[in-house]
Amino acid sequence: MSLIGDDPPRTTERRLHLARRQMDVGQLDGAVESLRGVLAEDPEHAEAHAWLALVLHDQKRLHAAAYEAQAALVFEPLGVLPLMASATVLMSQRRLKEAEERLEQLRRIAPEHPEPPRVLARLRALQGRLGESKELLDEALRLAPEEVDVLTDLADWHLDRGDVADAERYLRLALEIEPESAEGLVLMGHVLLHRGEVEAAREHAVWALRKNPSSRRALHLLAAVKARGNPWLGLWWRYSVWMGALGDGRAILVLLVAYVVYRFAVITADHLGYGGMASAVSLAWLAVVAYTWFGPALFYRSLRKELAGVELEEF
Amino acid sequence: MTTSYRIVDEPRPGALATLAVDPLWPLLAIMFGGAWLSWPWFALNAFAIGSPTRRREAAVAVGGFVGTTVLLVALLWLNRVDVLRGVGLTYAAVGLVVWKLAVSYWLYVLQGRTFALFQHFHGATRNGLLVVFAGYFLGHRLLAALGEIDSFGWVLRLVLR
Repeated sequence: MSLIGDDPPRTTERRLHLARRQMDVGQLDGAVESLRGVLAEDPEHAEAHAWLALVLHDQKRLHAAAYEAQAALVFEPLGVLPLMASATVLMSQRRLKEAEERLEQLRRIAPEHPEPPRVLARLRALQGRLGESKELLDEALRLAPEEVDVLTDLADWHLDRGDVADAERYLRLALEIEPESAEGLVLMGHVLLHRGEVEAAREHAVWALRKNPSSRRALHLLAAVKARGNPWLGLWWRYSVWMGALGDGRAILVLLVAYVVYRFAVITADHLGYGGMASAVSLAWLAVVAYTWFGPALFYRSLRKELAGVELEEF
Repeated sequence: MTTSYRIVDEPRPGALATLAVDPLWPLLAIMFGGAWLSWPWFALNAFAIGSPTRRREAAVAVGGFVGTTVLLVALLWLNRVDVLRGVGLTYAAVGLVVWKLAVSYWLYVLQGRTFALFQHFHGATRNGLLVVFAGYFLGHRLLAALGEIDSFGWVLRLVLR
C-alpha cells in the first residue's frame, strides 16, 4: 500500500478493464502497455498474462503469445482464461491436438461457459468436421442465447454452406444485441452482397476495417465487392489480400517458386534458340519484381481511399 | 517504484544499437553486393537491435555459407563425373541462387519482426544505402580479384558472391 493512498488492487483492476476496452476497439498497442503496467506491479498475475497472450496473438506475435499463455497457466493451471488463451494460441500454431485437450479440460471445469464449445467448434471446422462444429455451436447457444460471438459463429457456419437466410437471422439477433460487432457487420456485408446490395456491403466492410484495418474477412469482403464492379480490379484486390494473408514465410516461398519458374523458362527458351522469348520472359519477370516493391504500397493507398468518408447507414 | 515488464520477443539492444539498420538494407546487399556483405551484416544487425533470436540469426548466416559451399562442391563434383553438363548444369545452378535468396529472405523475416519493435521503442536507425553502394562497387572488384588467384579462390568467390 503506497503512502499517497493509491490502492494497488484497484489500480490493477482499472488497468485490466482498460486493456479489455482497448482490445475491443482494436487498440492493441495500448492494450499491451496497460497489461505491461499490471505485470510490472505483479508479475504473477495470471489473468494479465492470459489477456496479454490474447493481445499478442491478435498482433500475430505467436512466439510471445505462447510464452505468456504458458506463464498464465503456471500461475493458474486450472483458470478458465489461461486455458482459453493457451487453446487459442495453440490453434493458431496448428497444434490442434493440444488445443483440443485444453478445450476439453475447460469444458469439464466450466460446463456452463459458452466459450469452450464455441472455440472447439472452430477447431472442428478447421479439421473439416462441420457436423460436429454445428453441434458444438448449438450447445454454446443453449448455454448463452445472447452471446454475440456464438451468434456470429453460427451465422458464419450457415454462410459457409450458402444458407444466407439462416445466416441473416443469426446476424440480425447479434447486431440487435451489439450493433458495433465488427464480425457481425462483416458477415452482414457478405449477406448483403449475396442479395446484390453491393454498396451496402462495401459500407459494412469499410466500417469493420476502420475498427480493425487488418481484418482479413473485411478485406475479403471488400475484394469481393470490387470484383462485382470490375473483374480486373477485383482480381488485383483478391491477389493482394491473398498475398497479405499468406504471411511472410509463405509469401516468400511463392516468390521463390516464381523465380525458379522464370529462370527455367529463360534457360529453356535460350537452349531451344528462342532468344526473343527469353527476353520477353525476362521483361515480364522484371515487371513482377517491380510490382512486389510497389504493389503493396499501391494496394494500401487504394485501401485508405476506400476507408475515407463512409458512414454506415442504420439498419 | 517498479521496473517495466519485458515481453519475451522484445529487443534488448546493447552497445551496438547505434549501428542498427532496417533489415531491408542487408537484404538489398545480397542483390547488389553478395552474401559476403549481406549475411554478416544480418548477423551484426541482429546483435545491434538486440534480437531475441540473434544467435539463431547468426547461425542461419553461418549455415548459409556452409550450405552454399556444400551445394557448390556437389555441383562441381556432378559436373566432373559427367552427370551434369551443359544446360543441365545451368538448370542446377539456379538452385544455388534460390538457396542464397531463401537464406536472405529467412533472415529478413526473422529480423523484421524484432526490428518493428526496435523502431517502436528506440526510434531512428541508420541508413544503409552507402554500405550497399560501397558493397556494390568494391565487392565486384574484390571478388573478381579473388577469382583470379587460383581454383580455390574461384570457388570462394562463388560462395561469397
